[in-house]
Amino acid sequence: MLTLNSIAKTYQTDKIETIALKEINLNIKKGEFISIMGPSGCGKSTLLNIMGLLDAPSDGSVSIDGVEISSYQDKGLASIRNEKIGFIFQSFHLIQDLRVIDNVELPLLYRKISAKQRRHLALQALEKVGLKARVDHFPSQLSGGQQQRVAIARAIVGKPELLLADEPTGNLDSHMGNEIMQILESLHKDDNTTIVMVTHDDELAKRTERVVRVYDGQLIH
Amino acid sequence: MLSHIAKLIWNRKRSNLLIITEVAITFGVLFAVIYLGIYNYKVFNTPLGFEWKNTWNIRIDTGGRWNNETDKVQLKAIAEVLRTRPEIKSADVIMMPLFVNGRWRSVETINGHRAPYKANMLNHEAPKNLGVELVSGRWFGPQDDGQNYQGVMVNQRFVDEFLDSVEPVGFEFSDPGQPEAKPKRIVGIFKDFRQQGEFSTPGPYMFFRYNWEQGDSFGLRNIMLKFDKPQPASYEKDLHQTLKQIAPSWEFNIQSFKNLRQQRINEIVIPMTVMAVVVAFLLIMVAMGLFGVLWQNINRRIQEIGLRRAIGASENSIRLQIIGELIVLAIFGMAAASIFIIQVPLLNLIEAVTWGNFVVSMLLSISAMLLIVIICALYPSHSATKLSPAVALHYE
Repeated sequence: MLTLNSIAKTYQTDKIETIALKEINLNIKKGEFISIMGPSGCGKSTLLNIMGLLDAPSDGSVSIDGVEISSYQDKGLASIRNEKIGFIFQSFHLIQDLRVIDNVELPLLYRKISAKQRRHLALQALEKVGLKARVDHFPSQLSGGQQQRVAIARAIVGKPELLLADEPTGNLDSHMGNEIMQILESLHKDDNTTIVMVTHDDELAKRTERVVRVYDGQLIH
Repeated sequence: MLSHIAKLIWNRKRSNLLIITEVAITFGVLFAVIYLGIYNYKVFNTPLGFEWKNTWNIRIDTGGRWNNETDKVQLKAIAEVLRTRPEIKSADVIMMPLFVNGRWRSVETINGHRAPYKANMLNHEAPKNLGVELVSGRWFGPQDDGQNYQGVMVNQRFVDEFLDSVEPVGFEFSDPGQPEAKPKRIVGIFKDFRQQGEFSTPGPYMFFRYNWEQGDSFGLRNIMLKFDKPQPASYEKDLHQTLKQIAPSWEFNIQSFKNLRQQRINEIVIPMTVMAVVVAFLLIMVAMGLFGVLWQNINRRIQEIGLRRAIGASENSIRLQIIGELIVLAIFGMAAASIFIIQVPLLNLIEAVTWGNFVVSMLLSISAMLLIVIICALYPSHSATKLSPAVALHYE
């Protein structure tokens, strides 16, 4: 599904060079549920960003479904992000001025889908996360857990093959965190969705099929 | 996408109010300037209805006194002496001279309707000498003397506005307030006579004939001289001496219509130019304001832009969305301003505002406003996509 080959990432600011990732080789199979763990600043999020084509590696290559995407231009990358990848962020990243249903529909706006079909798919996604009754609410009218469920609905509305979750329970209490984890587990189990989750929580990581540990920008085996 | 943008803007209406208000005010000013520009351009290119070249005007100042027995004779003598000069083709008297601010406005009641018009009084040869074009009927003249009507001539606009359903030549109308006065009879129709020059509003006009043998010539203190060729400036001195010999107690102001016309044009063009410069600066200020507000708006929304890119928006989609948002905002602003602007033709608040000019001005104002908005949105929309989605998502 996703292959990282000798990935390196270096940030250059004035005269300081910061190595965020070096020599990362990782193969994620279709339908896997992986967690990425490591201390703060070790490069977990950078790794997730490169997996999600949100950032370009300084060296190495990324392949999705066997296709190397290093030659892709912005439009091609955007298209892959839209159709194959779903993102869940720690801080939800919901647009506060849009209702729940409109937030969930967002990824579909960048596809050629009718408004009616968009609405149908968004309602389906909200039903999956148990928020169908809250379609007309604004994010500020929801709890943190509910907001993260909206973000999950937005991530899955386009039926992506790969879900990337950057500390999805990081801003939630353990009860709500558990609810979110259950949703991710059911998406993995029922829809065979490939999930890569960055987390600090050992308990949550144990519930995934494989734990990848990152330290100082390198994978630890 | 358009409905999404409209929804987003509607939900952010409070924070967008500033831009909408700015656009609405600018649009109003822009519309007014464009309307004035179009109106004046059209009016300027409408035929005057007379020929002013090689024609001079002598304005006579009698010192505020007028003796109808002696002064009228003196005035007639001046006109006759001038006509004898070989370089002068014609010398005619007129009440309201050409290319000056003064005008004679009057009103009649025709078929029960109010019929306002501008008027002038001149000797019967004057219209022909000025190159006024007869459309139908005949010129007024001595054949109208001693009749039971007062022969008048009106322009085609007078006919179009007030006499649409009747045969205009021979039509008579009376002033209900003066039942003892002779009725006015239209003996002829001329094409036009825009006495105040190119920038005057075209409208109904009436000629009254001045009869040397009757009435009072108190108001007729302008003599128009038509030459066969252009005269040098030194001719004015020579002419002045001749006039002083005939009427030493009168003062004479001699000016060519070429100069009077230019003065009249300057009276309109100079303030219009100043206004256009002020408006240009205003537009630049507004454009800078829009640019600033948009820039600030985009900086506040960098995380949202990062999110949109993460979920599949390309750089181009983001740019188009930002430009699209500003266009929708501009449409809201223009719609708000239009609610007020459209009252002008709807309620006929300003007579000179016509639907034809209104629609053209509206379309031009909308195009200009959208152009300004798009120009203002180009750079901010471009810079909004410069950050990578990963950086934008974590931008504080």
